[in-house]
Amino acid sequence: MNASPPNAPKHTTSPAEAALNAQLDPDVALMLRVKNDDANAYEALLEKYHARVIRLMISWVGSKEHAEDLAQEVFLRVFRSRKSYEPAAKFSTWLFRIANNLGNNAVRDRSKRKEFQIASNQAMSTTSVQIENIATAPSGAMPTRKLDTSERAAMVQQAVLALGERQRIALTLSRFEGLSYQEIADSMDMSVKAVKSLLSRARVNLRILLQPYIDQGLAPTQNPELSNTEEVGDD
Amino acid sequence: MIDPDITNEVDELLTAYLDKELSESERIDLQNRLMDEPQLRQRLAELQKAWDLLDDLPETPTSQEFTKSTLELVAVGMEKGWEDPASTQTFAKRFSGWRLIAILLTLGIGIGLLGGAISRIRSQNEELEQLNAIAYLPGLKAIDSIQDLQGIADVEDLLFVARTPEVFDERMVTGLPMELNRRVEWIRELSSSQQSILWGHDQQWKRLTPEDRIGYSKLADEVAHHSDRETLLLTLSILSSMYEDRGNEILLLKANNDVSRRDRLRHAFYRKLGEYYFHNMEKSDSEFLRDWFRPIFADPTSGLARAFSYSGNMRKGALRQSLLELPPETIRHLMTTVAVENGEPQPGLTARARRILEGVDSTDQAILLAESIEDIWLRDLEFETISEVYQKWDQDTRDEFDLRTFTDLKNQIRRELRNRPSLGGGTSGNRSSSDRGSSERNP
Repeated sequence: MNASPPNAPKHTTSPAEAALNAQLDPDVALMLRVKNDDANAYEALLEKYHARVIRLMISWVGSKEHAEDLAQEVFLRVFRSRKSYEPAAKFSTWLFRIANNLGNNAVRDRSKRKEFQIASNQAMSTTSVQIENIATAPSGAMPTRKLDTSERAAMVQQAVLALGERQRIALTLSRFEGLSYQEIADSMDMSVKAVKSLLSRARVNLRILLQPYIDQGLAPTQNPELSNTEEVGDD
Repeated sequence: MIDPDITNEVDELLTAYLDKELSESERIDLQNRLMDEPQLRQRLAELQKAWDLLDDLPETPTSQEFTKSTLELVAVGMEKGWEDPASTQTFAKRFSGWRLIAILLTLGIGIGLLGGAISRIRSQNEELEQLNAIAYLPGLKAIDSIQDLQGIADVEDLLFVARTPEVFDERMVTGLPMELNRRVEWIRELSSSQQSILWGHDQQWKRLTPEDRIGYSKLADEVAHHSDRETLLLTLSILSSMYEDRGNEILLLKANNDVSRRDRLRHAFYRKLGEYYFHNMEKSDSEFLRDWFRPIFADPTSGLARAFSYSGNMRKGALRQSLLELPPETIRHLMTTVAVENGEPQPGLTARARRILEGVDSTDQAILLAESIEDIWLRDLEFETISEVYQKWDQDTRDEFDLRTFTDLKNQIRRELRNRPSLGGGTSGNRSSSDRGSSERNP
């Protein structure tokens, strides 16, 4: 897969800007040390961010194993592009931009070819998750009972996976990474307006998907509204 | 149900409000509206509630293994010329020790296997001979320092003395005395997480609790300073358990406590032990081999998988015969490990290998598929197996299997089909007509 160059700053950062960014964001300072071949700094960034990148990649590809491989590629790219690193933004924005490029390519590549179907609970295709699954899983056999914690988590997970890819990525970056709309826009290479729209639709769709639980604390039954899968996807 | 009166614009406004992305004036305006419009308040609450449910999602745990393997890949990448010499030197120094050595050895072996570089293998064997013998069991009792190990390296290796069936059988008595079994159990009960930590970093020894350090040291001493037959059996059992949980290597490695060299020794040990097994496989019954290998194969991270890969050019036919008697699931694990470890450590390979291996349902296919990934052991497969499996692939999965190596494999099989008319071209007696048809479809 070929991601676009990960470090494509819109402008060359001046030394003063770089110093300021490094002051504001300690991870920028770490990355600048990596740029100067400080392996300890690289390891520190790796340890700090790898779980977050894996989570983001899970949002892209669904499968944890695949996500880990992609996350590894993200960090290899970070390493390989360290010499051209320009601290024009927060480190996390730059990192997630690399990750999103890779995730986007991975999904695109996958759509181009027919792959082995993996009969694994972990390996859930992000594009094949049907809303109907949420209605029946994991408690489809007992649709009106209370959900326990793990079931609720599974239900929420399915709902998230049922969102369109970009909604899911934006959600992850906003909800779990705490990125601002501008930072999400930068890392996803889109406008702030588009991010705003994406996140709004993500919230609305989550609400639709999780409405039975929100209303009554129950596992959802077949909700006519849920069958409208097109509404859940991206544009 | 979405209220049709509430527009996307309102949803965006509410979302931005919840995300604290509104300007001060926008926020005040909206708050005023919220006070006046109950429907809007309800909508806001619904959106927030759905968002709050995301708290139920589990955290993605951090993984030392991920960090470690990524650092390994960086080291490998630099060796492959990613970097300028200066930075390579800097990072290579940082990642020196077991990581780099392990990677280089793995790469070296991989190259040797894939390229058939006999001279390389010969060189490895020479290197092996020059290493002090951590695998030299009677030598363990004398290990106090790396110098001592060097000194005993020339003494005949007890492992390799045990080549006659009589000695072998005596050595491999099953059913240890209870006391020894208890010790083995104690070893196995050592915290696997601590063992993993031990494996992960050169300096982790220092992070052990004093009690654990004493425990490991005592065990290492116990192994190192006994020479009676029962202790030897214990040692062998320890070795066995060691491969089930490689953290136990510390038992041996601690014996010299030389961090800078221990991984070189470890790899030498694996190779020697691999050779040992391969030497003895021909002289022992398959029952013993199954018992011996099963727990080892059952652990996809076992050191013996490496040993096999290091000794991959030896006795492959015999090994394969043993493998065929194991459950397919076990084979998949092993082959995934071998394929990944022998291959170029590139991201995606692990997942790809797993995907492929999970898609098969027989031992033969699992082996052959793994081999197609890295071309391991292909030449030792029985031709008929290749032919049959290939034809099955061709019928069922030709459009779904996009590895370049698979194309190479198919080409190779086609060549063999041409060169072996008695088996190729659909003339094999035990293949079905549908198989033949498939074969004839392909050049």
